[in-house]
Amino acid sequence: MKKILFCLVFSLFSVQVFATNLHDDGARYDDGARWAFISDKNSTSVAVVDTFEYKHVDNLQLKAIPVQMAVSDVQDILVYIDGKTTNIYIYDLVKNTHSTMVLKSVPTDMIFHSDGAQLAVASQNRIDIIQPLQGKFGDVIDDLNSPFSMNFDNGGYNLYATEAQTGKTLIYRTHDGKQQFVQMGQGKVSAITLSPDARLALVSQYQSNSVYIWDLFMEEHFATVTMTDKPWRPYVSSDSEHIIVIANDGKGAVINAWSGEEVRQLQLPVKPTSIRTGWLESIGIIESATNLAIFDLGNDKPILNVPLIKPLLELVVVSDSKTLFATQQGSSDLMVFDIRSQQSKAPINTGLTHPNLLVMGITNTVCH
Amino acid sequence: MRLLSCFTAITILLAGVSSAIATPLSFFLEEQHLGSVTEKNWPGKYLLIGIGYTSCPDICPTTVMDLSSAVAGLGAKADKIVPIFISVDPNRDSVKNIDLYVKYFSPNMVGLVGNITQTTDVVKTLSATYGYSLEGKPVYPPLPSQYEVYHSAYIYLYGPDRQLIDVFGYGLGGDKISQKIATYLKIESL
Repeated sequence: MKKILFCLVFSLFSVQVFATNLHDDGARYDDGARWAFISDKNSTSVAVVDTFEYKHVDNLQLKAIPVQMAVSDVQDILVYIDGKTTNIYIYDLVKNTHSTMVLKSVPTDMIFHSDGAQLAVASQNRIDIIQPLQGKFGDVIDDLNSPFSMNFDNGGYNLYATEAQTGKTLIYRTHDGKQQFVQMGQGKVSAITLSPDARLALVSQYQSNSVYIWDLFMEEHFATVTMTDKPWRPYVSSDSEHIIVIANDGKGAVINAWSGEEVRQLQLPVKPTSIRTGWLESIGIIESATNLAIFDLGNDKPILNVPLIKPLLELVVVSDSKTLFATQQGSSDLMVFDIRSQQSKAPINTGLTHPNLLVMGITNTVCH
Repeated sequence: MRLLSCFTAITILLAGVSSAIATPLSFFLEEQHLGSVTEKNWPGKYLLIGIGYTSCPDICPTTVMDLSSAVAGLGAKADKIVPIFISVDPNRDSVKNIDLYVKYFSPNMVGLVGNITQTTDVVKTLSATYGYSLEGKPVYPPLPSQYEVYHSAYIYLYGPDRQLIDVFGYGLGGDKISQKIATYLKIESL
């Protein structure tokens, strides 16, 4: 990917460039569809895995143990936070150099804009819009209360931030900073989910055990799906066709995102822990501590339960929609699952003692 | 659940369909020199297909380059594959424009475009998705003068029987796609 180098702009905040050259062999990890970066829970090592060749190729050394990481495929940087300091750490995947940006308070969450240049960073009651490659600070949003979730919409036109305690949702227009608010559900809610076509916004409502769906195009309530237990954060397939809802008791449904009609019911034997879709968005995958539940999104065929050797930590479905990678509790191995054949492949040893976070530059399959 | 009323027809037109993995390829589109074409044109050939639009700044040129280099990388077997780029923006892409566009990348590249219904139909058969947005919100035909296009960024390989053989993700690159196609051609020749 081509990188655009911007002039370094110094702001009121400090930018420290260590210029530590960690790799003299000229290794470049600038292909967002290829490289997966896996952190270690107890060390600053990050394993680099080649998802094209299914092998561990390198280890990067970070400046801190990350509690969250993100990759910009456009600017070829890995950014991370440590949950303790006010630093945003920036690792240049082409130059193999480190820099940091210092915020006013400890960052808790971050998400890249689709331009790969802007990063929204959450901290206590505040969002900073920064440009990590340039080391540049931009807008500050402080009219909301932590904890809150963040999500950019289709093409990055708006940033959505939803307060977890109230459902109050800020819609921040990125090009001019205009702010408006919409109420997403009542009481405590999950992190917000936006359909990739930016038509629907969804949250789980914990007081009423339901999923609240707002139509952003019509600017009105679309549906409320009542669940039988505490609902998991809802998921929308990347083609924006199917909504997947599931509750802690394992009961859920696949819902057509256009008609609002139920396509199929789901009944899992165990509590879910994450939702994904893949293989050209025909297959749903719900993770639990002991199983991967694999099912067709468009029909009622029986659910295939794939037993897990270890509980999973983080899952990524790569950009061809055919392969799922996951870190596993208490294992150095990266799990590899072929969604198309619905079979596990040989795991990849990461060389890490406790693999934890897993990020890639490109995982989506829709061009905006 | 509330059913959308006035927008239903439009939204169904633009909705991707995800349960069509096993659906054979089917389309009715226009080509600059051949006129109306279907999946039955190019008998005996494999079809390597990407979708996009000519004013796309980044992803689509990469996709078309990957289509071109993937086929070129097959050497003598390149004539077994027809690279096809299908527009999902028929409002702005004419059959002449799409042909000019793809020929910049390869003289053997085929550019196809249809009307909105035909576009939706081919996108459906590919299990892909596309649509239009303005200021971060979806817009539907009739489209305003300014809008953005979003679409799936996969590359699809269909066999001579027009069954889907494989799908390649954005970013895999022409060389890798070429290697994978060569594997399929080798299997076929055994």
